[in-house]
Amino acid sequence: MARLIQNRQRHILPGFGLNMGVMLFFVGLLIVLPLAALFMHTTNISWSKFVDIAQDERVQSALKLSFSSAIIAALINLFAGIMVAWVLVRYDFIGRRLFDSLIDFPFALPTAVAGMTLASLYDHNGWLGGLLKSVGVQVVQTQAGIVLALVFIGFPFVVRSVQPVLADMNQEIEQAAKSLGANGRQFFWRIVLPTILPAAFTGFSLALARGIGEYGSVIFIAGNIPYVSEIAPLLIAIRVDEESGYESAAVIAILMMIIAFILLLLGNVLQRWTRFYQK
Amino acid sequence: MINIERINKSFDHGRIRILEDVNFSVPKGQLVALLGPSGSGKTTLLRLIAGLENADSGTIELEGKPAQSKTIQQRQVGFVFQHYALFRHMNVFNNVAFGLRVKPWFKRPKRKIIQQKVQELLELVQINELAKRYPSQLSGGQRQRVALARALAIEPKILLLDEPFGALDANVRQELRIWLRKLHDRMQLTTLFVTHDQQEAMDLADRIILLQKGKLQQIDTPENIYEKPANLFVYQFLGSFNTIRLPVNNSSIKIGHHVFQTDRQIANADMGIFYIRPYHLRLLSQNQATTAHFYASVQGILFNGSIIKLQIQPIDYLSGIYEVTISPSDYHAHHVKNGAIYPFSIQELAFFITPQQPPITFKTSES
Amino acid sequence: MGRILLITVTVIFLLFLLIMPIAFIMIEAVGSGLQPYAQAIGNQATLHAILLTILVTAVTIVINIIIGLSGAWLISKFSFRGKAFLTTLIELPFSISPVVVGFLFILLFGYNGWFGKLLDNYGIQIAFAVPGIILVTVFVTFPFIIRELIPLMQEQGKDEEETALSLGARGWSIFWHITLPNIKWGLLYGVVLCLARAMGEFGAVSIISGNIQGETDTLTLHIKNLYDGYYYNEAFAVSSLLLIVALATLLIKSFLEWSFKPKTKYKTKTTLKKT
Ligand SMILES: Nc1ncnc2c1ncn2[C@@H]1O[C@H](COP(=O)(O)OP(=O)(O)O)[C@@H](O)[C@H]1O
Ligand SMILES: [Mg+2]
Repeated sequence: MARLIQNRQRHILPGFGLNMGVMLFFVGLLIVLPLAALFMHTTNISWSKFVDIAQDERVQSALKLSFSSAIIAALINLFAGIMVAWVLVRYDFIGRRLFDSLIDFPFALPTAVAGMTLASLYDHNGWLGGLLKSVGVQVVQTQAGIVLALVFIGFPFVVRSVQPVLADMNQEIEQAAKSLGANGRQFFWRIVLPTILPAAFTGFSLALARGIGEYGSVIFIAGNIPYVSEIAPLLIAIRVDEESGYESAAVIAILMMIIAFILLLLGNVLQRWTRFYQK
Repeated sequence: MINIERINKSFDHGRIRILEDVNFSVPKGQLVALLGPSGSGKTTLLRLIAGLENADSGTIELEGKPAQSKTIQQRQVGFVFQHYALFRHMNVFNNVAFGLRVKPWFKRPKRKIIQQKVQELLELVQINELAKRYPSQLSGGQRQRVALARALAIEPKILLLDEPFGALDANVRQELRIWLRKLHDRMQLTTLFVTHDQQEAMDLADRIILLQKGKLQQIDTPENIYEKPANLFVYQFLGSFNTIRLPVNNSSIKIGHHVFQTDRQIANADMGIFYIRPYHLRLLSQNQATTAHFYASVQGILFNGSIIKLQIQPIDYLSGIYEVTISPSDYHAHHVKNGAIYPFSIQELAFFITPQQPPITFKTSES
Repeated sequence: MGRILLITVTVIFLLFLLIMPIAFIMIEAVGSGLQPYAQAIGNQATLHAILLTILVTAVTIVINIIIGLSGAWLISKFSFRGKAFLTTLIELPFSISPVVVGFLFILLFGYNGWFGKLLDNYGIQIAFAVPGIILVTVFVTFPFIIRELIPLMQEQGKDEEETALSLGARGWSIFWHITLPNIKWGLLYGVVLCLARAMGEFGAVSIISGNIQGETDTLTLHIKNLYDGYYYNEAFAVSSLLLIVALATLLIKSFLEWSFKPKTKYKTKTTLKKT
């Protein structure tokens, strides 16, 4: 009896059972079950078949394109994001608030609309495409276009990660540094950068993860030429459409997840390393 | 009345033991302090009594009835958190009224009555003019009064307070202590309050429960706990002290020519550690020098209101720096000056055969 | 000098990256006049897509509010085994490609899927139908609300809830009177984020819906169909609707941030003291 009472009261605040039930149901139905389906589906594929699909040239070039584009875009966003966050936090200029609110625009705009817009803007007879063409640069149907789309949709991550950290760095730190004789450049490299780096890497990883799997914004501008500008998610979509291509789709999906997982793990290690002073 | 028997509590699936076999009872109507260094398990013990935590084993009785089968709501104890936990989105009135409004509908008082009752409570804690303020607009002392009024709204017989004065500054603290004592007496409550400040416990409590590392050390009146400490920890926790290392022979020790004895039989030792309270060192006038045990030069003088602390350095027999407390009148009568040398006597020394036992007192046989 | 250069570079960058697409959508939308614009939005197919998108978004938000509140309460108020694992699972949807999400649900509910046949026997269709669209949208937006709420609730601790408990309050009443008022702005913020993403989801929906015109095409799919069919201005006309919603969510979001995030305390202090 005493035991029963103890068990019943293991958690003092109410709602443990109910909420655990709700969470198990939704996480089970929406996350665990679908992933289980994918892994079960993959285990039905023989190893040699798996390797065949993985080594297929079209698959390889799609994976390479997806990952390299995502990494390049995330790197661009890392630098641009730090710059934009710095300018927004430190300087006051006309339109600062407007720009600040608009930073999240790429998150709010549906990716398909973004993709369509970018494709039209940079098309040969679009506003910018024409301009670029006259200097011999082509964006549409090349990797440059894919990177451009990924820069657009991943842009807010780094800015939004770094901004609060920068805003939190109070004036006293800057004044202390200056009183010790640091000039502006030294202050930035020795004080600011080490402080914001962990947050910047968080933003970088998020942008990277988003970029690897991105579909809507890319397919319009990429032109989707196999072996040239066909990204991995699109290849999955094509294989799923073919009905008989489920196995191939599953293998590509698994490969994407594994590589993304490794990359994010590396990112985590990097991030922990930049946070050394917090331990 | 609160009755605790053999309470054990651990966190992290038994890996960290927080409370070990704790027994005590708080008689009806008493105001009792739960004293101990921080991390000793005071808050955990209080939360167990309130029902915010479950014990691994042991029993808790409130007002003579077993409490563990009751839910928190049924226990009806007033609980005040260390940082008061006021509902920040409610004004003072609504905070205090909360406990009345959440009663089941058949027990809930009418709106008029709630209004009236809250008014009374606010008057009781002397903050009726603050009824419309929000917690963020109150001072620490005012917040504490709101928290108390809120806890009292459900008419608890038992009041549990976690470090009620911890977040307040010194003079507010003093004032609220007196006020809390009066409130407790007037409402005929049984109150258990947590503190890590021994002075606060001494000033306020009828009895003190002393806890260390989850183990009960002593339960006693403030006077007894000070005069008759149960063990070395209690002795050390309850005030400052000096230590001297001396050889023990035939249940006696020597400082210079002077012999200090005890009537207990003690094994000889090369080096025993002896404890002296600062007020057991007496500053003598030059004409009392014949009874002096040693001479020392004054190295520092600290004025601390009603008492004065001297740092002294003996020039014969003993070495090191010692702390002495004297009264302001002695201070003036002896014209104490930094650097000057005065005779001192030792009234008594305490010796612990083992840290777990009460001390043995050594006194000089000379008068 | 360096400062002016930095500001200039940033402003130009942002103009190209953010402002230009906004202007472009608006101009292209009315590129062939207001009459065609109205027609593009008012026709049967577009209206159907709008209604479907509203339905999917609304259901998604409701489900995510339930998940968000329930999960945040569970994770911030209790300690239990597997909590870290659960937290990881919640974050997972962020790192899975929307296309893969669509594929996962086809594996489950497609004609040859785990449950597809079974449910088909009862006349229930999930893949290539509205329920499937809702499921993938919920998956994709799963973390938004809960991620806003968990840190908020953790920071606020359990003291207030435990006090309410000791004063005699019960579960729902504690949640309703103590917890919810403290998190309502965070919840609204999460809902806004969730809304923006839910109405604009494309990759996952395009896979699971089968893109059956006039039935399972949400706004974004409809836009793609128009674009692919060379109905260029119509595509941008419909896009302008989504652009307006996007800008509106940004406005609400900025408003929430400016009024309720760091300045909360000072605000209430000055305005309430007078009452
Ligand atoms: N929920 C918990 N989980 C794990 N350890 C805890 C928990 N609550 C308290 N402790 C530990 O129990 C010990 C006693 O805590 P507490 O009762 O708060 O001490 P006190 O109030 O005397 O300062 C501390 O070492 C603390 O770290
Ligand atoms: Mg404590």
